[in-house]
Amino acid sequence: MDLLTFTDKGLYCEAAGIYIDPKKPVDYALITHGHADHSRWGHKRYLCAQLAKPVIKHRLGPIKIQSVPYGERVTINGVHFSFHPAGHIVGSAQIRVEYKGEVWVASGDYKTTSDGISTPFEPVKCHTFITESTFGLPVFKWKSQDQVFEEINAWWAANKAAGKTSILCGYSLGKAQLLLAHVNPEIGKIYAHAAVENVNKVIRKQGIPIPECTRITPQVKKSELPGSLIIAPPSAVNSSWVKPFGEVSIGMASGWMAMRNNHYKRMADKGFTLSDHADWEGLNQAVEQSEATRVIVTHGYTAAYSQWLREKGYEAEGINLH
Amino acid sequence: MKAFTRLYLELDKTSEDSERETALVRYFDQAADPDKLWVIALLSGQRPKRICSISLLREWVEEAAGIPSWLFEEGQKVVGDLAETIALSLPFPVQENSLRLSEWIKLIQRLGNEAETKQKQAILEAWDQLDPPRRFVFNKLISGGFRMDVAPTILTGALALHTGIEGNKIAQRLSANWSPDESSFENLILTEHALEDISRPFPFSLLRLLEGSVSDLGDFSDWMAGYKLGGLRAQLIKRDGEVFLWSEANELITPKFPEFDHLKTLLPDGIVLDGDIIPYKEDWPLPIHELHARISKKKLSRNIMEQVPVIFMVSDLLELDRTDIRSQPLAQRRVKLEAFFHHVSAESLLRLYPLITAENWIELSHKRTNIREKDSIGLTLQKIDAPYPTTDDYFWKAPPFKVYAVLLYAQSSGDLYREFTFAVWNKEALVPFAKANTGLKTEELQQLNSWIKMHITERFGPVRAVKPELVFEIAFDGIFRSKRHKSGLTLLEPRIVSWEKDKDLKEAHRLADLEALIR
Repeated sequence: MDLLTFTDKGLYCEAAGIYIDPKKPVDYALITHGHADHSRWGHKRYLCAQLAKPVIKHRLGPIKIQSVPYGERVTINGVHFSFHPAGHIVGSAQIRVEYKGEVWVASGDYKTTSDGISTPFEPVKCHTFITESTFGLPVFKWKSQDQVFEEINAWWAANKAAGKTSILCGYSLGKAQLLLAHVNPEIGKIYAHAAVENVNKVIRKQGIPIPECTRITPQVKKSELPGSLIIAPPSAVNSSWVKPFGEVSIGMASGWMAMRNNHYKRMADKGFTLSDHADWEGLNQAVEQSEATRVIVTHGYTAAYSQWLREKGYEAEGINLH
Repeated sequence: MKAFTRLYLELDKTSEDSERETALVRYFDQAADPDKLWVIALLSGQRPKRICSISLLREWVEEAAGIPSWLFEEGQKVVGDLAETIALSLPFPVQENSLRLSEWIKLIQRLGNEAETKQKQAILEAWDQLDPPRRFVFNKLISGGFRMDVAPTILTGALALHTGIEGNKIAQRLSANWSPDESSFENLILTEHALEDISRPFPFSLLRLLEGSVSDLGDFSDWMAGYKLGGLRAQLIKRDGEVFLWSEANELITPKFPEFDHLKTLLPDGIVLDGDIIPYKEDWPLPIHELHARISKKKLSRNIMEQVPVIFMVSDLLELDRTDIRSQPLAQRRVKLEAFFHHVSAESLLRLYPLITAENWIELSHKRTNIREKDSIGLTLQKIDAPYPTTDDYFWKAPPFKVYAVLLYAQSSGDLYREFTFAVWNKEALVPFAKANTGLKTEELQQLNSWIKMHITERFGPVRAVKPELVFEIAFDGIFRSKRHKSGLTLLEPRIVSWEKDKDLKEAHRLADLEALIR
């Protein structure tokens, strides 16, 4: 019997009686991070990393939730659990599970490079490593974050010079804060979509330095927008939300921007390849550093990435959770 | 090559003419002359010869990236383009390379004559010096797969803005036979051409669509009415023994219509005619789309010239005996034009648009009703005392054809179903014959959308089949036979006139009714 098994409710640890990022309501859920496909409403009890708790509470409202600092051991029915930085977004964690000398790590979503606001990824040694594969093909390789922000700042400055408003899109939890933390505030004024600013507030309260920005409200005068930067979720671009802003340039920050032809790029004027997931090199590095001999591949190019690992000598399998 | 790559990606991203022109001007303004010349060549379809096959490139990339073949293919499934997949599968470059576009192309051309091992070495080295976007463009260049079609008018317009030289001069200079290997930007673009002064057209008088009532134009006797066939508006110029054809978009289209070369001997010098190039076979105008198909061919074959012959229908005379007569009133120019036709015999190539005689607006309106019997798509109305160009130049469309048809399919764009396919009866079956997306008021469109949502019977991608129940009146400006369409017909500008809520399914027209409309 495997220590962790894939059930229709999600990743399950029978020995402890808990689920990791369950899809359906359960009694006890260990949550890797606050994104909606990992942190769902309706469980009786929640456990997460300390830094992840404020956002999860903000998103799910009144829930019964406990948290532990990174690295601290929690024992449930004799199974030892601990949360370790995953570098994906603020508070994101890999969950280490140890029982009778066997160690598994469920990595959730992760990236191996340091982004300046989330606690950097820490490799955790284990026997079985459960990895995502969102970008698990060799065509996905990220250039350095500094280079991408040079591009973003240059784009903003050029739009400003042309009298345009820059709208930069990224998911309101994670990507939006990463953008805010690294755009150059000397170029102009920074605004945020309400969904973004709501998350900002929660994260600022944790003492993580997210620069101040002005929430876009109906009271914001259109005349003051040209030259400024607005951070917004991608869903806002397709809506009537952008219409009143006059002449705009829309930028999209996502790993998918590495490709010329993709859905979002058609919506946006400019794409920036910036992801909170590991690229091809990052995934390989994480697998190697885990020193695991068995790897279970979820989320993304599961078949291709597990085949690649098998050819490299791992005991690997791909599992589609959706 | 950074600047060129940026230009390529900008052009690739948009099909908006103005954005493409802006991108080109920005490129030209900062580029060195040899690079500009190559960009002009590449955008007008002259590309370097392929130096090695793309499958060989694939072999090398798998080796350089250390990935198995199947994994490369997985990447290609996601990315699509092979040159791009190669660019993205390789590790990031460790060196820099600041060679310019023209230098890269020289290097690529030299490599064409080298042995495979030399080629491989050079290409691996290049991959290691270029970031993925530049690598992608490089791969396109070496594999002969470079394709970036920019309308000649956009390229001409951008070069005109960049150099300050008139667009039609640039067009004339580009129309010569030239090769980027033998020419220079200075010679090709900046140097006066022998023919350009004699080839120059006059600014076109724009034909405006008449939308209001014809009686608003004033006194009938101030106007001249003429027939109009479906074709391509152009000026035909004969000067110094040469013939030139210019489209309204300021494009020199002489090479597209070698038929008119004969006019070199048939016409006197110093002549400029305004009119339309008409696809015309056995005394019958052909559908306009056949002319478009002929024009879009890169190489003009004997076959297509026989399938789609052309004539030039003349509507106005702008230059006669080397004298610009545009300031003379239209009535005088018309007299001279008719006299000119008395002396010219070139009937197989050149014909005069006849005028329509009428006593008053009412009689003219009446004649318009039957104008399709004369093969016309409508008529022109021009003020008799107007010089050329003038704002008093109108096109009065023939009344549209109208039929009742049944809604069969709906396709959404954005949040609403906006594109609809209509059918007519053929025996007991409904045959789709027209697609239309305009004509409904916002309210009706929303009402129709709610109806559609409740009556979907099948889904094909973005298309929904709906229960055949609703009848609409459909208007269109022309109807032709077409082998490519299920109904055997193709329509010109089909649009919705009205939602016929009182009409029954059985009251829709039959395919035979439509066929009867074809002349």
